[in-house]
Amino acid sequence: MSERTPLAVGQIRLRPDERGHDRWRIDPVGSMTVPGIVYSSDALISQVREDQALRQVANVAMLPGIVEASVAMPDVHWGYGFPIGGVAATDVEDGGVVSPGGVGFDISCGVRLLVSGLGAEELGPRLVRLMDVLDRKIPRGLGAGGVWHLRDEHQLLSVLAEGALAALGAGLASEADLAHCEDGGVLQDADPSQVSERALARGFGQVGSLGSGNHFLEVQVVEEIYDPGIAKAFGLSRSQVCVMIHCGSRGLGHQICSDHVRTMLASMPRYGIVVPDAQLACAPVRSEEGRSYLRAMAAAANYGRANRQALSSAVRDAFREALGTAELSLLYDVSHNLAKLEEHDVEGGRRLLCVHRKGATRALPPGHSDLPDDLRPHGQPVLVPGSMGTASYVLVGVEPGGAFSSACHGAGRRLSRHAALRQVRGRELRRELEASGVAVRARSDRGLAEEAPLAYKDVDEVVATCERAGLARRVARLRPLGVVKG
Amino acid sequence: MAEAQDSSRVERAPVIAAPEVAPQEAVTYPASPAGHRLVPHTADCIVEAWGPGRAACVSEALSALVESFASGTGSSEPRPMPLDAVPAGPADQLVSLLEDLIYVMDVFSVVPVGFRLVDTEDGGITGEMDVVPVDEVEEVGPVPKAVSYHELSMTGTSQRGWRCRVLVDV
Repeated sequence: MSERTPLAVGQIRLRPDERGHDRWRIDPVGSMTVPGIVYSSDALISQVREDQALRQVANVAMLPGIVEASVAMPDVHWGYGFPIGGVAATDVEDGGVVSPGGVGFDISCGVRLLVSGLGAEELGPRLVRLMDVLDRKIPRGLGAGGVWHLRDEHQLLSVLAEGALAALGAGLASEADLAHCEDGGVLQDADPSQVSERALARGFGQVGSLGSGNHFLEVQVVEEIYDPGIAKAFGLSRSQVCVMIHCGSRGLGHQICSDHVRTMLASMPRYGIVVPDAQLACAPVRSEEGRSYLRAMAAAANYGRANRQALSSAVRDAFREALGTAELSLLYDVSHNLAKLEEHDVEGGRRLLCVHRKGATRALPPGHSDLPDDLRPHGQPVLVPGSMGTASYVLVGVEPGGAFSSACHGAGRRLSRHAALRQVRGRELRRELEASGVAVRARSDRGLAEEAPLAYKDVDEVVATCERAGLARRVARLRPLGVVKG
Repeated sequence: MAEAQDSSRVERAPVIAAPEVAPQEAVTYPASPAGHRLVPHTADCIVEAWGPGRAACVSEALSALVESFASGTGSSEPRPMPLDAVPAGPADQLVSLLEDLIYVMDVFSVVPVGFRLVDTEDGGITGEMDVVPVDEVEEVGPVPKAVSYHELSMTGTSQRGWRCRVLVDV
């Protein structure tokens, strides 16, 4: 059994990487078997130093079977076990592991963007009415309650097995919606029998709900177009009204992660695995525990897609009620907390890898076979939600890309919730946002303050760094008009 | 992994990137026999608690977690619900009871407003929590959803008292 002890403070040296200006490198020390690579700009890197994210990047580099590097995106910040904004790939046929902590508690937390046929000037003063209807229709915050009231456990099991396809059967989705979801809205190999009774109980009443924390629903307007050709192909034009939804698999996904971390902690001695942080608990992909987790994770991912789909249906209802139109087409739905078995080139050979993206978005290049026909020539839309009150972005995957076809997932937190509360008063922030033309529907002023823009990194710099580093390219910038917060 | 090549050689000074926050910094607890506090974390919530026994320490951690997101005690008569941990390692008991709290909130839409826990002779923890409907408290922060094993600790003796530290996902 190999020792994998945590690195002490001061052992981690970050140096500029010779392969690119926005790449930094942590050379292997201690039990690291690969280097750490941090995609970051000179402006962002000082913020990365302020928390423990770099130590977590180094810890991930100790996972059995990891290949190439433990990678951090420009929005990386302190998580638990893995950093948030981390990418790690393990070689499935060479003892590579899967780690539930490398996916995160909120399995398949992700983003979707609905594109309306309305311009901002057409919406005009009707925004207030739309926000009031959304405020009433979108369940969020503590406890049970979702827009999709499941009949019985059998229907919940079908959600776990079929994801957004189950929503189609319930009249909450269209075929076009499914075509523009990652994996067609259904992650294969989901096995609801690997999901505990406790997880099922937590998930039963929450399908079609936002949750709380950093999850949100925003009405946005396309403010700037960077790539007119791709924007046109994505159906985006300047001044167009869109709706962005950011949420995940609610209590069910969290419970699945908790259950399987516990199972793997118990099984690691059997496989001779020692990890520097218990939240990095893992098992070989080709083990009973690894397979069980991946099947349960797929079930949670399907729940997450059904959840965002059910919310989309509620948004269409709100548009119909407030504006008399329900014309909202789905640009794309993509997870940023997931592990997937993917083929990549490693050291000159094609290898099957388990790619963990925790707070990182898959970014497939043009021509990739997993993209739907109409998007394939252009590349995968990468949806990057900004912090409340600041911009969000639509990026597109590029060739050759990097980090196993991954890009950032948001602005990335800079301040703790405590620190944000010390600097921001929720009521004042609400007034400021309203004064700048952003309609806010939040459950609490404190929750609003904790998610204040100053608590996050500069999203413009994060996406610009992604672009300079060759991870993805900017297509459009969106500005919030209205925010519904959990 | 495909690499983006950049012909311009990077000419920057190496940076020592030691985190400014020590990972397992020494924690000084106030002199009070039992208490709790919330410690800053970039995205989530760290709870520290202490008490004369395991049950007292866990009760403080549970109270801290509720205070992190809810304010008020409700308008209706609180309803007792059982809360138990079988004999196990103290950190596992802490995780188990925190997870029970999260579970009842998610499934029954209630919020605990009080805890009455005692240590059992065989090493378990038993008691009750008083709960009120979720809509009777004010939600003042992000709702806890899972308990992490990241730098989890719960240590102590009956002579020295108990202390714990746990990171909760919100």
